[in-house]
Amino acid sequence: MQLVFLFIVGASCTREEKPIEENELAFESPAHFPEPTYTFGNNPVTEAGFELGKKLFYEPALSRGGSVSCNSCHIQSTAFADSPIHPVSVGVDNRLGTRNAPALTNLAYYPAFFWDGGVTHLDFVPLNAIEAPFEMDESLGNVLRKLNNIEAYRNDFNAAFDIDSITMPYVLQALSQFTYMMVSSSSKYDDFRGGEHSLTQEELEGLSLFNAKCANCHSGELFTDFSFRNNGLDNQFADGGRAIITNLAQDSGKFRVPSLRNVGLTAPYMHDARFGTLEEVLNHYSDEVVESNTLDASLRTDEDLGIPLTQEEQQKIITFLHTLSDHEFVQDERFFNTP
Amino acid sequence: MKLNKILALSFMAGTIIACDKDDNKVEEQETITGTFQLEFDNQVNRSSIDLKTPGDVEYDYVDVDNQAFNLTNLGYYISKIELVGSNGVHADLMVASPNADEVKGYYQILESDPSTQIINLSGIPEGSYNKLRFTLGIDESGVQQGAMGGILDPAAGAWFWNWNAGYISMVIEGNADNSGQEYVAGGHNGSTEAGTFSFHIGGWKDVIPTEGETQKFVNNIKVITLDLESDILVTPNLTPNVHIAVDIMKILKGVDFSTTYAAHRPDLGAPFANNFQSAFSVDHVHQ
Repeated sequence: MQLVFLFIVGASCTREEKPIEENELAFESPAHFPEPTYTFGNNPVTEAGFELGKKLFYEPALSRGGSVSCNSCHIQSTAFADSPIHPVSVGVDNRLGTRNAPALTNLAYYPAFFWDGGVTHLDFVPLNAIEAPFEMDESLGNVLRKLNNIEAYRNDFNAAFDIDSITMPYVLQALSQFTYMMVSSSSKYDDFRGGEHSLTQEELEGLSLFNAKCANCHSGELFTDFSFRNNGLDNQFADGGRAIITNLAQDSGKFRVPSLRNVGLTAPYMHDARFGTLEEVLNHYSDEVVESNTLDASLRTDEDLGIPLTQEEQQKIITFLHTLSDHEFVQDERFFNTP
Repeated sequence: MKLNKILALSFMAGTIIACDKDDNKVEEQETITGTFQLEFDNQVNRSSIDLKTPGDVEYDYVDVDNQAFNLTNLGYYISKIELVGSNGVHADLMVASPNADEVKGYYQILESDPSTQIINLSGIPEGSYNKLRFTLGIDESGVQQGAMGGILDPAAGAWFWNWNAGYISMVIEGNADNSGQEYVAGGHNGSTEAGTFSFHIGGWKDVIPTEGETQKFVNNIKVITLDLESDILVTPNLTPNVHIAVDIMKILKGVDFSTTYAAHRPDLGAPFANNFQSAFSVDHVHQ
């Protein structure tokens, strides 16, 4: 009904409507992905907006002292997760964060951001990084002053948004245009799913095991149900996780179930980066799950904790997980730091 | 899904407006309209408010528990204003047009800036109205639009929580003679004076719980409904002005400043938010 109405209204004023061809870029959702959550209507991607968002993403002037950019903790070669040598984020003056910087892929589909899900719109994500004392430690006012003092930026914002003076909402929208375009859907698994490639016998066995043992939480094509769960890392919680947002004891020690896309590229693992390898992760689920009040029910049975897996099963699952690595994505020149 | 509908609707609205402007073939419906003015009079137990600075121990008010206090900062967001009358509900149409440049239909009432305390609504269909409704705070439909400009721009003074992203509905700050707040030396956001209090009442999330879990978010967004004493007439020649009294004493009801002097989380703001409706009343009307 709505669609029909839209079509009629659209047809009656085609003259003013921008033809889609004018924008060389468009957000394209892979057929097997869920519905995106981003509000594209408020901030449709354009070539100029995307390029500006990229420039800002790689811009150290967003930080106090000019030493840290978004890219400092989100590197394309690791699917925009942090470098393996930075278990937790490293901010200005080498201040350490408390959590592992996650991969930035398929953000257009996320209902909530960060390990605790406290932010529910992509536009608001960079505010946390800019203002956090242990990340960029910069005020929004200073960011705007610095950008407005650079003629090239004034021109870029004018080209992208038709504004003369740079304001924060447009900084955030430009960054969103760049980051929501980071769609990773060209892995070996995707080719298999599309019928273009087959998986090896071991990968198929791994997939089958994965579906039986892991897909309860890591469900769907993004390999997460976006819920918040305590996966049995500790019985005392140094980081309250989801409870920081809900203020409820029942959420202590719960963190977002992460997407497993590109998981083979994003070591180390867990919110606090305690595991360096996927082998350690699988071993944890099989043998090391710790009891606590908020431990997820799926990790507790009458007789045991965790998800019992033989060494061979663990290895097969890991082999399958590597089919989720998207080598096209990490080499996609659209995201390169080049003008 | 709900959000998608809102988006589709606002897109449609935008398209229709664009057509009206540039395409004369679409006839404007002939509706006779007038204007309507709201004026917010912030007070503490009928006393007007004289904002002090943090640390100032000249107390202007005393509550029923003999706690002496003053105010240093006060304000709140109003949105989704609706007039209800014999010819139906008239919503403030401006709410449909938020964007990164400016926001319309959202208002930040600041005690420190008298110009913000008057809201002019125009394009009100001629008729009589006997009820006023508005949202105190910025609800999901606003927050989930993403970055917006004007009074919702965090770089331009918007009250915004980064970590639990959303707007603070109401800010009440002041000094109290028995406040338990100790001096905190300057950090990222400056120092905190001893004897102050700071209540930031926010929290909009009403996310449907997963897997049979109970509702876990505190949603402090309140819809305030006020009866106008009698029918108020809107015509092209009349601009009715409704004075709304906002009694901060009623919002602070029951607070013991010695133990409650800082609220910066949705759950801690709930007791204040539950008093919002009782604090607002129609004081008088200039027809």
